[in-house]
Amino acid sequence: MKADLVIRNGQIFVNGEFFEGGVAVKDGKTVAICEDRYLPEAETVLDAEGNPVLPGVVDTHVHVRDPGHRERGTFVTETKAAAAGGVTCFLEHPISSPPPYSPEILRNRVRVAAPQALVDYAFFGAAGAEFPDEVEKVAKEGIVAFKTFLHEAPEGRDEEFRGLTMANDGEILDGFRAVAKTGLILTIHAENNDIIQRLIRQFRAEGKVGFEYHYKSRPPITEIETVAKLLMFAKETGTRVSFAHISTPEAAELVKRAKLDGMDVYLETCPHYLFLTEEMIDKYGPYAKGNPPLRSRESMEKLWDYVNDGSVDFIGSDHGPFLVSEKEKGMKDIFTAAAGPACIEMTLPLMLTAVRDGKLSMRRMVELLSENPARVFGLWPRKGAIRVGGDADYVIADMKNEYTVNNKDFVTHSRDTSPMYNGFRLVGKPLHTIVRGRIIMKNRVIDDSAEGWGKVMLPGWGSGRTA
Amino acid sequence: MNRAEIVLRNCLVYTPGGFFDGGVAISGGKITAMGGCAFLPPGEQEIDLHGTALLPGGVDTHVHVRDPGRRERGDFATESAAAAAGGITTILEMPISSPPQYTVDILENRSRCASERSSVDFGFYGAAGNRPEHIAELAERGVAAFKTYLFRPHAGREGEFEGTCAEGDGNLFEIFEAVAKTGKLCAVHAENDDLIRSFTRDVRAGGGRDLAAHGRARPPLAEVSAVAKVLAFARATGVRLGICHVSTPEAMELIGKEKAEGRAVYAETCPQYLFCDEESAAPLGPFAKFNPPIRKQADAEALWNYVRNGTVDYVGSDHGPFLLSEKEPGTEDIFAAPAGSTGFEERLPLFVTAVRERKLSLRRMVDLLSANAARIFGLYPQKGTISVGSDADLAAVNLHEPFFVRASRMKTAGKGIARLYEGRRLFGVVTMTMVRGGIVFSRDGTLPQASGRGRDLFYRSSSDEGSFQGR
Repeated sequence: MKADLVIRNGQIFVNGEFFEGGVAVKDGKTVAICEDRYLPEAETVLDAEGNPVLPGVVDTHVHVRDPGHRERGTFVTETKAAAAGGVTCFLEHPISSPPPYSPEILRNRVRVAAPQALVDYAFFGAAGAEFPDEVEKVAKEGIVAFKTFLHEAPEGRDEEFRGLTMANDGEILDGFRAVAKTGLILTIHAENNDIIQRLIRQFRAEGKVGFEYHYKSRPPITEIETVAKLLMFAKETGTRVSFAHISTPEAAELVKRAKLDGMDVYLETCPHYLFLTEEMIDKYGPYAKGNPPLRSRESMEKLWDYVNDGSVDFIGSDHGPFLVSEKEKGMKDIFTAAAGPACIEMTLPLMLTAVRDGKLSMRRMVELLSENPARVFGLWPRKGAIRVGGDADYVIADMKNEYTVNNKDFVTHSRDTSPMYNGFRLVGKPLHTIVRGRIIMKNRVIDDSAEGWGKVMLPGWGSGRTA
Repeated sequence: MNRAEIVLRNCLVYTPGGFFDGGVAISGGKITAMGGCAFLPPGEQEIDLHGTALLPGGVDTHVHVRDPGRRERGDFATESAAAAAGGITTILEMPISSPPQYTVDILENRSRCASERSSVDFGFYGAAGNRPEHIAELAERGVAAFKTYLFRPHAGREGEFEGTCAEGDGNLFEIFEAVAKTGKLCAVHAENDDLIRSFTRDVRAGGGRDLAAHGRARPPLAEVSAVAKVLAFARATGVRLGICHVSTPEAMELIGKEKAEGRAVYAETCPQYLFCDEESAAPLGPFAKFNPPIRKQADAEALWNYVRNGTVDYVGSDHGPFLLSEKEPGTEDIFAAPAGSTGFEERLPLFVTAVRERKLSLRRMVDLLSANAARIFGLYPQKGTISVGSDADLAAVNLHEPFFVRASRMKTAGKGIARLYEGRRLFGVVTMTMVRGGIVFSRDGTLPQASGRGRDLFYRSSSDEGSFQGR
């Protein structure tokens, strides 16, 4: 039978290793994996030119503020950025206006995303103490997990955080119990808000609003203490928890110990905690501001141990587009700037460069970027690996040529807010991105006609026999 | 379209993400394509597998074929046929032989015997005992790993244990240091010999002669204390440590903690510690005698937790045939029988049945029986996976067909002592086994000339530089 698409002359990553050959696709699924000489005929043939063909990245941490704040980026602009980063599916976190704390809001978000998205996506539901009755209803609507924040909405962002916060221990206990009943994972932004708010007040009173007070107001203890506390709540309530964007080795150690005790807990970190230090905040100020903040060099290097020993389950970009004006405010007072980098395009090249440099194995990288995200959030084995019967989601990355990062080259609408990696010399720039058999990006050119090709993913799909 | 040499069609091909309907193509002994049937190339030979599952061939990390020393117990021809019948395509042979392979000459001789007779691929453990001066050379010429016993040779079997037993802690430390330099794994039979000798004396003085007496003579403490010791020694020397046939949850707990510290420590267990217990095995007497002994039911159940949580790295069968005449004296006095039984043909069906009972996932099963061992012993992805470019080592298995274990139908020369699972209803009938694209077992009985097909994956004799495949 003729295939729709054949990719030949690639280094195909299957079962943890590469082989030289190609893949064939029919109806959006991988239907053959073979040496080039045995590839079937196809409508379209793409030459990988000896480059690695990897499973598309499943990004566990993405913010698209559409609808609500379309000026920061839309599902069109940000899924194009995803494609440019080799991301074929992402999990959208619920800061939007309003967050999806009810089935109606969630359905509306799907409606908004559907005609726009170029890559596949799934949603987190919002879990807060405000609408506990909605938690079970949202769970049934089709989300991959819940997300919650442990503080009240930041100044002026009430609408964006509605139904998304558990602001004190009583609310946390109630919220955890509500989520535990659904069996879904609760992803948590773990920082101690009491400490942070007190420090910010003190620094402000002393007129200390310069760049460095961002990380000084959110010291490591804020993360470590909260992780320790939430592990107790998770144990007490039987809630499956995932710690988002963990930035300190101390917190990673706590999660590692909990895993050894048999707890069902997960750990995410982000590229910026592995490649950038607080010196970047000194240099770029609000543009390098994220929560939690970048840490010391020593801390960053130690975090790699947990990447390699299996404690870290997945790496999410925490892609969060903002306007330059929202960042620029922080030039005078760092506390007023919006927090978050727009760096969905950086994850794969950074990690592939780390593989080249011997910081981790290719196998581990694919686990962190594709396989584990799909497994933990219920999209496996449809997503997360190149396998016969799975979705034909691939990224072909250029491992031969180094390039110099310049944020002006980014595809994200928020490109001007993310200069931190400028000047980095990297390999692994994605050349071609394929989503369910369709070439969304070819030789770095994104196919504009693919708007609406992306589909919403629901957990539990595609298990068992498919081919 | 290009033709492949062999195409297997109409099967459920295993991948770590589950099965797909389709097949694989094979050329030059390697898998060259996998896919849905409509997208596979035509083959010069086409084999219809009628919807059975296609699994990576088993890698068995713990095997005792005493060829050439004690061929009356079974040789590489009979026992590799049994391995193939159990879906096993690579065996790692332990050093208990006459004499154990503690020098290159002995290894070369054993490797030649296996090459002449084995139908499946193989590698040898080098004996690492009181002759550590040979370790470097053995590693260089090609062993899968090393094996060390912490006990003195059994009375009457001194020749079979020569050069493979550590003579005390000083010698053990020296062995670990020597193996550490080679980068190879050192597998250890970890039981505390001093305790066992003392307890055995007491148990015998109290009149104990049955299987339970054997258990009392080698209690969990004997294993746990030895495991704690070798972990400490491995930490000090940096040797990659494999702990053989771990039988107690307490020892698993120690190993799990060590792994969490990031150390290269690997745990093996065997089917008898998961699927049998001392209480129900009691009537079998010497036919259920193993070292370490089969434990209590609660231990067996607790051991499953370590299978599921990843502490156990691989399952070895500890296949070790004996003559009926060697086992029989144990009926009167358990201490008079040698320890061990058959395991090749029982291993896969026991685990398939456990998967059906949801004791572990299919993926975990394949990791334990194939993939992990291949990785840890440096054979992946040549072995242990169904991937393009890998050796076509495959087992076609009917996962849904029940059968009753009957020793009389087994291939092993040890069928006379294979009583442990007799009559048990299991699932998982192996219908065909392939080694590098050649059929080495077929359920319909029309066995091709498979004996001699197997290759040594590690040993490089001075005359055949080119055949080295292990890494």
